[in-house]
Amino acid sequence: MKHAGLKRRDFLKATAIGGAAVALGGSAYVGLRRLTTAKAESETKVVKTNCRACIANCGVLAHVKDGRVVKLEGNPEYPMSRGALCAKGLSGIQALYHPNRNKYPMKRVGKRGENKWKRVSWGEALDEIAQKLMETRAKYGAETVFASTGGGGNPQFPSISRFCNAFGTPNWFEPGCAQCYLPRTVAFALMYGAPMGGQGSDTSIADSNCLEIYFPDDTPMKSLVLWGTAPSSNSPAGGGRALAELRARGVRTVAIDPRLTADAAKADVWLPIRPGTDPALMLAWVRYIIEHKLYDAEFVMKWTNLPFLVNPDDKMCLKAKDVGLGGDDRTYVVWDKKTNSARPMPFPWDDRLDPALEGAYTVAGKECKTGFQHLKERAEPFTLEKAGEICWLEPAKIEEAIKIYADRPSGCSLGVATDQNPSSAQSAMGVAVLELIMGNVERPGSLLQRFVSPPPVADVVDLRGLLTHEQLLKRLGAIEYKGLLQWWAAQPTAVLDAILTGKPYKPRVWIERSGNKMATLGNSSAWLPAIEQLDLIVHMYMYPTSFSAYADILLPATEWLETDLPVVSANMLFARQAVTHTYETMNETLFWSKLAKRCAALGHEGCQAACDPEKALGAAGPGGGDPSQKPASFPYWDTEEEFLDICMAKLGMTWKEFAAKAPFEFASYGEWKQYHVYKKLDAKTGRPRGFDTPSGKCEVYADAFVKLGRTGLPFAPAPMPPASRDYDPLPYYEEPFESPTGELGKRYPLVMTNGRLPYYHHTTLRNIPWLRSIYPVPEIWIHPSDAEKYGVAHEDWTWVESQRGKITARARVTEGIAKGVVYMERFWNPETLDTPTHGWREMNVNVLTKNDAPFNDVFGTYTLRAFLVKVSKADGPPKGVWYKPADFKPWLPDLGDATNPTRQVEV
Amino acid sequence: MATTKKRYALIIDLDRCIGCCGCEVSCKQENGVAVDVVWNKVREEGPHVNADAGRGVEHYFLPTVCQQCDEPQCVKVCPTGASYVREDGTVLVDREICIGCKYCMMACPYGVRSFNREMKVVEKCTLCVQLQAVGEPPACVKNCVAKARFFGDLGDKASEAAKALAAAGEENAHSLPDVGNRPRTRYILHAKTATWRS
Amino acid sequence: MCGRTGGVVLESTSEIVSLIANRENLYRLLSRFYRIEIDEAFLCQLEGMTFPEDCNDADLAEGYKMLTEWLLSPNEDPLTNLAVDYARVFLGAGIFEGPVAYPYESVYTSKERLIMQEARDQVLAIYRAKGLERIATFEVPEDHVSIELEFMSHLCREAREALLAGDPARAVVSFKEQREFLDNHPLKWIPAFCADIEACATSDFYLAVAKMTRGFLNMEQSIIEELVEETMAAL
Repeated sequence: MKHAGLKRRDFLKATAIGGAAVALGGSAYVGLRRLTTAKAESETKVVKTNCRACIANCGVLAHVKDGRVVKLEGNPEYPMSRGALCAKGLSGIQALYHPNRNKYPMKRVGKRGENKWKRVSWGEALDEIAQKLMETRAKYGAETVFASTGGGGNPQFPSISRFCNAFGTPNWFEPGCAQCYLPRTVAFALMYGAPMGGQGSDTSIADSNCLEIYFPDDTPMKSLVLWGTAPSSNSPAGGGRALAELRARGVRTVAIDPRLTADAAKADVWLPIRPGTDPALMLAWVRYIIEHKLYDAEFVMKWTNLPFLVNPDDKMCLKAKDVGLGGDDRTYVVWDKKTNSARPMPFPWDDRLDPALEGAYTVAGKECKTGFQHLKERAEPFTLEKAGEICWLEPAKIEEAIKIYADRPSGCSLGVATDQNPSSAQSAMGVAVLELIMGNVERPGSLLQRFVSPPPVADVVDLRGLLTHEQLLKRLGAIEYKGLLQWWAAQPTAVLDAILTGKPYKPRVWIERSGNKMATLGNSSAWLPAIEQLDLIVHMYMYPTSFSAYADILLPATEWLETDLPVVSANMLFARQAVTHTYETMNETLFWSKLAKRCAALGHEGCQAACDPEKALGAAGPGGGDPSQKPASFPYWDTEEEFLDICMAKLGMTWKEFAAKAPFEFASYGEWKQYHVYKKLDAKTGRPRGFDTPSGKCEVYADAFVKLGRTGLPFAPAPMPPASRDYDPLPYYEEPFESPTGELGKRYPLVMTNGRLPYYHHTTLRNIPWLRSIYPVPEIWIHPSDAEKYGVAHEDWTWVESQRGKITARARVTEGIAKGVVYMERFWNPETLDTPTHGWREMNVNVLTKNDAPFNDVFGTYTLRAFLVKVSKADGPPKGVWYKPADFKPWLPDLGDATNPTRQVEV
Repeated sequence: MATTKKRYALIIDLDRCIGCCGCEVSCKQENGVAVDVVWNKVREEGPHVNADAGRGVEHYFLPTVCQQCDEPQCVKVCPTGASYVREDGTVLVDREICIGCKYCMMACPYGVRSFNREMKVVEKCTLCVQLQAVGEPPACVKNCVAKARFFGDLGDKASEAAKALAAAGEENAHSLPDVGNRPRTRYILHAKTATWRS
Repeated sequence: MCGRTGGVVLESTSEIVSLIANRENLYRLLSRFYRIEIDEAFLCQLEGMTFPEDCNDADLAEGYKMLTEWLLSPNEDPLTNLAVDYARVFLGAGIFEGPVAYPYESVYTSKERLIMQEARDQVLAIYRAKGLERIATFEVPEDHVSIELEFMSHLCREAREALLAGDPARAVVSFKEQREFLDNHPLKWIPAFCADIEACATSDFYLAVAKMTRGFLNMEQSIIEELVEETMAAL
């Protein structure tokens, strides 16, 4: 032994520190104390909770031993996953117990980017942020404070909006939003009329809608179109599972996707569409359906606004009272074939009339076409051949797909793909048109439904009423892109431009509440000069990402295993329950509340109102919908428990009671799954309920968009100045700005698209060993003929360049991607975080994407997909990125001598 | 090699499998498999162009794992008897006996065995014997999102595995190449999904 | 050396007790170094301490020396600099890859380099068996280095109290418990942890602490052996 020969006296000398005893003094118990609980035995329990590795919220059974999560598996009670749990959920323990997690609030020391931090208390952090916020508001205006969030990392979306409303800033954004889901929620809200987030309000599978698919033994669905969506990738345990079950039962599917996803590989027809051309294909489908009379004639006539005559001057459907035909606000004008005259059509119908569906007629001296006529003319140019030419598809295949869709009951699910380029509104409208004219509405087998809504227990209420109209008008991008009003968000590029130009004012403080903005924002490099000019940047997340490198304050967020929140699935309520808690991580619902209270204490009137039971206004959630279904607004809370108890108040339970009882049905399956809601009689009026649109009908001719563009209604609380040009009430097609057929296409010949992977969610989880080892680096999928043309072989390291930048990817040469198109998913490299690239410049497709005009007219969507790139062979991988098993050594245990510092591992 | 009384095996339905890799991770969580080792690896077959297929191309995912052979080569070459066949047909490795010579790894035609560097023994899928002991199926079967994995005694008509196999029909049940080892695992794949090429 | 006459026993016992007390204090001191950042009060206390110049372990000696020198040298903003080092070295702030000394046994001994693994469960059970638990406000896994070191100081105190109560047999039992805990836990990982501190710490302060920790722990096996021998001789 090393110290043989030494004796007691030697040891005494070696350990004698003068003054130590006195200095340390006091209690011997510092980190340890006497046991407080009588029982000191090991305890294992199984806690029912819900995952949040992605937005599917699958039910989880968490095995917890003495406060340590030891195993995760799916909860069979969750109706959408039925006990399944995907790789992401199963890796929850690795995420929870990753040693690199943000543990305490941190404040920057030295210059931004030096990556030097010191711990501060939550109190200090909140005080500093609140002070800065108040100072900024006083000097420059509340609108110069902006916030952002995103879909990854256990977010509580309405929390951000609520704080911003209380604080008086109209500015918060997501890299998603106008680039993810918003276009569809608005299109379906205006055209189908169901409130956002309702049970069947739109046809998104990834956002846990399309509830009909989860009961495969109880649906007559015969065919399903997957338009730009891959449930096997976006929600494997939920949507992926449901699709597997439906296919096994003979449901035919069509996959419209440039990439051969798992769902496309099992579809009856795969249409590898050119990215960005979806409205052309949709209009071709409309044309074909009209030509072959495949639409639901009765539904179209009686339950859509397509027979109504349209005023050519203002593009709105004519109201009977405006042309001297009397009637109420829901009485429109049709051309009656029996009397050959314009007649008023009251809601819901007048049997004496035989309206013309098509044609143009003179009313009050003007030539008015029916909505249907407008639609037909809009679709007219899009023959199968034309669509084939534009979309790079075979006309015969297009026809085959339409015929499958026409085999009803059918549905058309639209995914995020089309939300990610400037045709976002038109694509969303396109699918809404298809579903509505096919009458795929509230029937057994339809995706669009109004199943019974849950009691209003979920979540934070956003208190829009606290944002003054004056402040709302200052929202960057709001006047031009009124679609953003439904989610109450700003346009990212407008914020960026404002910082860089100082016009109309200069934003100064950024509170970011999600993952890695440098990996998700379009053309993210463009943000660097803006970041330099900001006074304060706060990043609240579970672990450091590229964005953290630019921040001033880091705040530790809770993982889903540390979170409580009610969850809705089909007809059931679940409780996501925290099974443990580590360090000083905080749930963002509490963070925003504390921040608001700090500001209130510093004199902020809006925040004070948000804390005041009287002043926190009622029914102030997202626009539209039945107020009685909304949770009452409630003032900010002091603890998580208080917040949760208020959430459950409408059920007459405390959170604890709810968690003990959950999961349970809020309505029986039979009650919940109600069909033909539009036909049900409204007790008050004695007439059918119809749809929650101004006309009470499905507004396929969506003049609501015209009104939206001109006034901001129905989403703005009061009319706003108009956008620079009218929004179109019908879908239209425009060739993508970066067109492969133009000049740019000669230098950048390939069209780039993205798409999800089942082992990651957005940019999260790249630091989780189990998942990273499945897909260590982003692949670029390239067709063999293109690969040959551009000198790239399978598994080559490849340069990928756009007009914005240049990155590396690993080539996957495959027939599973359309010719002329390449595919790559977002990525960042945590292992190079502490290097000059900060992990986001090497292989991140958002270095290439485009964030400037043209934008989508309604939503301001920029271009994440359907832009041009070129590829060429690179010499090798970027410096420092992990891709070989040996690279993952830091994640392997030290098997050598424990005193060996070099951690060599024998492989 | 004597045939055992029972024939436990996995039946994997490739019509259903969507390649989510949940089985890879379930296995790692349940069995404490090292970061860079995989007992159940999801591979891909294709895409291949096939003009006859409705969609023009064919592709399927192929989760590879110990095939639980009826004539296991690994057992044959094992010098110590550490690799053995249990009564229920499961091929296992006894860690106490295994000396880590890796002959079995070389003998396995599918490369589904791996070396545990920490314990210096060979290991592989055990059909989660520890879960079987408490009446539960293997973790990969339990968590499979597409309900594409079935487990049970192929000799017992009432077992999940046997039922799945029977429902598929012989022409749609495939096995990996047999070099005399008689793999017991079957992959269900209908021509409608893709042509079997493995 | 120890003898059996009252006077010699008394002297050796009191030296044994002192040695145990020294170890107790040293464990508490080391525990404090790692538990949280250095604050004003603690810095003052450190400035009031004197560290041995003479000791037979290279690491320990160098550690003492470095610490003494650091305390004497002028430092513009010592607390901030130390806090930055602490955040980088022990909390892994702002980094993902590169040497970090995460202060949890589980990170060093678990297959997946996660916190809250087997090691944590094991020490949790050991603390409980001694009627101890982690305080509620220090929400870290129980195998945090500062808790393991604090636990050692508790065990030392038990031995010391046993001797003072005239129960050397009980003290020997305690020494054996200390040895067992040390071998099964701190010694399994803390030396490697100290090596990691040396790989990434920028301040001499934490480099000194790492050396002191490793030096002392490496000496502990011999110390305990010596204590057992001497105490048993007194039985």
